Amino acid sequence: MVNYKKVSCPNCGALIEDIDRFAAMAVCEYCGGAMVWQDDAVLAMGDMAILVEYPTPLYLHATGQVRGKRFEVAGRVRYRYAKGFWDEWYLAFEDGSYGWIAEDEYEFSFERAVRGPVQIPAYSQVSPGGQLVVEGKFVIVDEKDVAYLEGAEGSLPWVLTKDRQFPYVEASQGDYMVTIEYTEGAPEVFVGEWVDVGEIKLDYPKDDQEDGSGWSDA
Amino acid sequence: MSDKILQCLYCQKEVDVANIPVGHSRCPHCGKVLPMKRLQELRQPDVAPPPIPGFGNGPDPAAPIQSPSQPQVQPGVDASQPPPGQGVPPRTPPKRKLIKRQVSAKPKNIKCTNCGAPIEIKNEAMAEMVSCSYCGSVLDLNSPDYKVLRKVLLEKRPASPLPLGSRGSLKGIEWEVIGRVRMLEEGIYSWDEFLLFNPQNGYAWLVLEDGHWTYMRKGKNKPAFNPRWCSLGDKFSHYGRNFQVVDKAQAQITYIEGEFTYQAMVGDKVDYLDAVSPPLMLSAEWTEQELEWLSGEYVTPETIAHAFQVKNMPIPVGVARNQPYQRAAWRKQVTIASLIFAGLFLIMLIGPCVTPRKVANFSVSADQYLNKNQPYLSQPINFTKPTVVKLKLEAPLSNSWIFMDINVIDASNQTVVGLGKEMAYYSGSDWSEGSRSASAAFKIDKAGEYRLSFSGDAGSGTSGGPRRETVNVTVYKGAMLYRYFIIMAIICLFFPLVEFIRFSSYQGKRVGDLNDDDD
Repeated sequence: MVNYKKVSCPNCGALIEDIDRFAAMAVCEYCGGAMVWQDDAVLAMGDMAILVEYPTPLYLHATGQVRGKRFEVAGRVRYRYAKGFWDEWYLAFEDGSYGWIAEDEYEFSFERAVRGPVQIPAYSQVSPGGQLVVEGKFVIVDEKDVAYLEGAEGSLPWVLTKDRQFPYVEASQGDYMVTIEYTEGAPEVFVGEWVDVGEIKLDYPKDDQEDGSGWSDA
Repeated sequence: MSDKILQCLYCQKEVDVANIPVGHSRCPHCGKVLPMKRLQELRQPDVAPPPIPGFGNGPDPAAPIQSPSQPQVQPGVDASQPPPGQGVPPRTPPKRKLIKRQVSAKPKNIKCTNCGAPIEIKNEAMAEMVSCSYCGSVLDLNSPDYKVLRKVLLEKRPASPLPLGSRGSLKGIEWEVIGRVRMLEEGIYSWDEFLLFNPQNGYAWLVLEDGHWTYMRKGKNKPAFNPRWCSLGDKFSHYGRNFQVVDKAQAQITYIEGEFTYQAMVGDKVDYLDAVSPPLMLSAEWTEQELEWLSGEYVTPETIAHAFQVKNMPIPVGVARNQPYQRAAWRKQVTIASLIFAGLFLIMLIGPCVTPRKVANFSVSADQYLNKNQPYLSQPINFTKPTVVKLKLEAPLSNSWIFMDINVIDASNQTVVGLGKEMAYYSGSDWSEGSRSASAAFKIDKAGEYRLSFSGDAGSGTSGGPRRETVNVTVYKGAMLYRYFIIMAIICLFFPLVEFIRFSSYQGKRVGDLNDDDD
């Protein structure tokens, strides 16, 4: 069940009714101001960049189903790296759990955080094409770079600061894929599966273009 | 009327659940069974929609105008109610968010920082770099003021069959050519890569090399190995297909223009590997940061020419590495038919179809066939119609030989067939050669009685006298001459052989063939 809390944006004063109850941070959809909760107080934390849209089927507060689980999109984070960016959609599931769908250039993966300690080589020891073992599975490293936070919207489980920057590694093998974020402290490991865009079934898909070709001038 | 209304799936009339007696589940209007699950739900008084203001309960004041692409509301199911057992109710997007909702990439018009000419960016969110089509400057779209990265002289633009802005449908997607890269390997091999874009489907590549086209998209299911450690000729299996590595090298960008999702410059080097399983191709590119696989498929020049209305199509040279072998339909049909006939003839050879019938069996003793004065004459054998006769001679030879002169004599004592047959058999403790039997076949053209005459010679060892073995003769009629079937089978195999030679020479013409690379 998705639970919401209401808050008045500390930046612009707009009433926002649909912030996830357990959010540690939220972005006002009117002014783009970020807010964090400290004890019971809501504090403004500066502006977040407005995210430029691109052709994705997902949107904030979209409801639907993926891999047999119903969800509502609670938030989104965009990370940028040298060759582009990727989005991470924060999903609230009906059973009270949370998950992520990462979207990178029209490819989607359904991810969950790996709990407990995982043996991960240091960032400097990883190179694309090399092998890693995560949860007993072999994966091939696809990508290694440094990402920084470009922007966010909606509710988020952590407090993200604008200068958040971290090295990361992406690896995959068949349908199984791994993302390692080398944050301060222990690296955070996410494992996931590729999902076909058709597997993300939204209750209300976005409006289609008139002629279906995608070109508005066609 | 209570607020618990159910719509009958059959007559579409609204039914007040309160009016249906407990234990009944039929529509009072038409008598058909009502949707059970929904009925049970409505009967339970305490299942209330989630108490969240603004959605779920009743009409949402901010509900968007229904667009035709939105799912049709199922009869009997109120979309504003949570579906049974689902904790996340379908949520109509509030109206204010409609502004943001879009499926297609957003174009953006900017002005060239160098010359001020207008440039349309097709995919603002992802474009990292664009070149101005007027002055050729390359702009960094990641910098706030679109810094000029490099000035390219347009005079250097190599001729291209697909100018930027061309549109064409491939695989059901209407693509626009938005970028072009020319690559050079070892200073000799050159090819073009065209970046295609569609606002709903993202990106794809068309690779043009020696007039051959390959359509490529980013591959999700990558082969599980490091292409760095592969070498030419390596084979691997991927999704049930066998691929062979046909190229692995470093290529350099010699020309680049258009809009790209990454920043690349003339002179940049790319490590890559190509593996083919015609018509498919897998391509890997890697840098220190990234390993990317693309999967592609051969596309005929005619398809490209038709899709993009290309006039100056380059003529294909040789056979592309991933070009499938194609031949006229009749060639394939004739090959298959020939193979089937050849197979049938070979099956006939095994012979269950025509079994020769035994008509006589007799023995010829050594005295009889070694008699130089008078050959042994068999009893008359009656053939009621023309036939092929088969003779089988057997003798218990042991390091000995028998040569037999056989004549077929008709009723008027004329010899119609004369033939000679030799049997020889030698053996040692662990070897043997020759045979203890021989067979001969001949044709009888006319029905009638025939007799066989036998006279012969025999010997043993290297120069010993005859061992005087008795020869057993069996006569069959209706035999089949196998050699004709063998000849037919060979004739039938001729065309498939020609086809195989054609195929082999086609394979030999493949561009970048491994044998060429070894030179």
